[in-house]
Amino acid sequence: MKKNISLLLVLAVFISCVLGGCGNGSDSESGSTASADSTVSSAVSDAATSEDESQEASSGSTAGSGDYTITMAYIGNEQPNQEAVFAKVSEQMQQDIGMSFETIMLGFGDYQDKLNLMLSGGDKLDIFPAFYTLASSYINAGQVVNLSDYLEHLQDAIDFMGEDYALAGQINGYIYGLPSNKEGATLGGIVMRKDIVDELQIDVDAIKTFDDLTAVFEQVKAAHPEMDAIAGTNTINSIPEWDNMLDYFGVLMDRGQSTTVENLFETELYKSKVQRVNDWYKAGYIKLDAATTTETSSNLVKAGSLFSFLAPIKPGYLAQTNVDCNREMVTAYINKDDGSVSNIICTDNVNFFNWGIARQSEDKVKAMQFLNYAYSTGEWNNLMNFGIEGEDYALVEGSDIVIDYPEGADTANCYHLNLGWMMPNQFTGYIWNGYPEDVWQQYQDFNASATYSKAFGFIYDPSSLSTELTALQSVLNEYKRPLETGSVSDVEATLKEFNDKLYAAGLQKIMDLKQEQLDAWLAQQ
Amino acid sequence: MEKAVKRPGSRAEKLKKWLPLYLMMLPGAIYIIINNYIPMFGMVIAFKQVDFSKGILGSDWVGLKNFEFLFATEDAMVITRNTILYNLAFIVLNLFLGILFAIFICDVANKRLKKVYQSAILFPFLMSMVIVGYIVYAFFSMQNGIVNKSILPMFGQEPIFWYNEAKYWPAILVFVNTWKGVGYGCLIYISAIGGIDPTYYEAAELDGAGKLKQIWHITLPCILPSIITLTLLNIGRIFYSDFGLFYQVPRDSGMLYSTTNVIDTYVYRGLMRQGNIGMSSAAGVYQSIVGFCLVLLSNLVVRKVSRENALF
Repeated sequence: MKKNISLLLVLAVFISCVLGGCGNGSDSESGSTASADSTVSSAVSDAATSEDESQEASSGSTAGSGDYTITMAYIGNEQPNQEAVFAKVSEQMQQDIGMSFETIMLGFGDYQDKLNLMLSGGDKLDIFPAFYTLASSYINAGQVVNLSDYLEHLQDAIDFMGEDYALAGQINGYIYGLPSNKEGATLGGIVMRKDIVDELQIDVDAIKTFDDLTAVFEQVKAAHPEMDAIAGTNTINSIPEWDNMLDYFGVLMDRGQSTTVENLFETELYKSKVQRVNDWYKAGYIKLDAATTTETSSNLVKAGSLFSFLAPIKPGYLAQTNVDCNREMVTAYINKDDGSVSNIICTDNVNFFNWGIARQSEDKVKAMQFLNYAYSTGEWNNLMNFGIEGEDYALVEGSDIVIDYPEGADTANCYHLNLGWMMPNQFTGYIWNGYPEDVWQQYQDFNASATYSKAFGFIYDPSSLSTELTALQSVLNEYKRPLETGSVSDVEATLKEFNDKLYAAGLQKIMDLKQEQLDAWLAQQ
Repeated sequence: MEKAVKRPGSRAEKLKKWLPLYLMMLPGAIYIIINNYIPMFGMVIAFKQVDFSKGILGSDWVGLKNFEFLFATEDAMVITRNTILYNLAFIVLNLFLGILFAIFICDVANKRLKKVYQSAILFPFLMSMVIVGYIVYAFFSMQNGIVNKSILPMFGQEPIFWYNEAKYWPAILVFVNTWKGVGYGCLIYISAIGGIDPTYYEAAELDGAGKLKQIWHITLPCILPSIITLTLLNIGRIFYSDFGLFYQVPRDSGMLYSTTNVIDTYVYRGLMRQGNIGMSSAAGVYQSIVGFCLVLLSNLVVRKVSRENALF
């Protein structure tokens, strides 16, 4: 009796396994994914899908039936009135291109996990944010559509951004997405509290290099020992003097002008930078817990425990940071140690954030047409970014580009997504009050004056060396942050350890691969 | 015609008698089949290079390639060593302390206080590891922590760079895990001890046995089944680690990796960027298979030693 029942049970399990295995392979639940239960990102899902019923196309029906709904996933946070805003967007799109609009919101904390699930689960999705770091894995897993097959539908977007820029989101000719149009180059600098600068009479204009900063910190530390002079984060990357080439495993030195892939962590330049930060840490200018803190620098300044931090400073940055820190701040650009300005554009400045089309999109041509529309239409960008004109924002008097909250309204009751860098083409839209009126022109000048890395437009494909990449990533996590926040006790010894481990993990193989692919790509240019 | 005669103890009668119990088991059984057994099919992912345009079944087989990264570098040996050593320490300590506290609590005469102690010892178990991470941070933060600012100066010692030096963390993590986890086992042992027939103790007292002798000869042998069950279950999870404990509490500080990196955190950190499902599955399969073999082995050992206490 016992034997028969257990036999029956086993049979039942077998049958259900077989049934579960058959059928749509792409839709069956994958078993154990990452064995790590991530308690890091919040388990509570924030994804709100706003349903927008397509409205009857009243006047001006253009080509295409009114039936197709574009589903777009974007990263952001919950906004008041967002239902109304998305309904308006859908209405606008119905009028202009005959498609309706639906959104899926992903929170900043868990968008990567959600996106992974949506892409592997085959949910209804057309457009999604594709970060360049994951591009290679999307392409290899077949999750993103190759846009080079649909270029003829993208003509407006390409014209607006310029071919170089528009087609920068590609690996080996497989275009995985259109980059969002934003400032490309970044000039690094220091952001300091204005009240203390005035109190200690620090001459902001005289601050040009890192060594100038050391003197400033000494002053600040003497006058305010309870405060940290500088945040430990971003110390090395804020003044980019090399092209990272996607990850840090093999870089192009000399602002990307060299075409030989080198190990960054063995260069004298890196060592001197790390040594300087280490000196700062030992002198007490940097928060002792810098290597493990998760607090943002602006929050620390807001709380009064931090004097300054390093950041990439683009036109209009000051306005934003004053709000984040809730204090008045001043900025000073920092140059390289020899005084020259470091202003380079690498691939990752441009295609850091892209919009791609998911493999499961039901009508890829329509998705392409939508992308084209989003990249060239100011109204769409304004609606998504700032909400409905008159309700969530209004033109400032005397200007036809600058906008601000309407009378009597503020963040609490207005839709205000304000993620310009994520919008397909913020350059077509309005400018928020506080930014200079000609900020778009300034961005373009900014970009134009920068030095383009020789590898601009090139992304290498590491998929054949995923074992090495995993090991290298682990070593990088172990040493990079401690070194760059100055928390190690002996820089030389740690650097040696670091490099030994990197080579043991297969750094040379990755560098050779990069060099090979880079040479092949250069030859084709 | 024998059809109609139902002999006592026949199949039909037995079925009628036990049917309610089987029905009660049904929801649980269905849930376990769907949640635990059907996903086992997913183990094939560890051996494939998943291409979503072909689907899981249609993707190519790559043999053991996805497992390579777990053994490729010296780091790999470190994480395995860390995982096993930590888990051994956890098993031994939680066992010993769990039984000790259970015996203490069971001997408390005041019924109300007994309940208070039980709740108190279970309370840390219910806390999220994220909160525990912050509590530890409040203690050991190098700039503002209680230890560096108040406790060490009290003894005239210099502040220690807790989050920068790896050597302190085995002790800290073992302490935190024990503080958090002992309550669970303790509660099970309390209920086991509660089920021991008091006449044994009375007889032992009459024979002149002291407290310690009573514990050694009565309490422990009676709760041996619970001990063995719990220990075997823990051994089955010897290759798994509490991700929160090893990622949140050390706050992901690179300098501590040599003593806080375990298989789960290594896989998480290494594969976060790549999104390679095959390799992550490979890590999970590796952990499960080792655990499975260990459970079978331990059960075999227990069977040889004392047959009736084995799990199966």
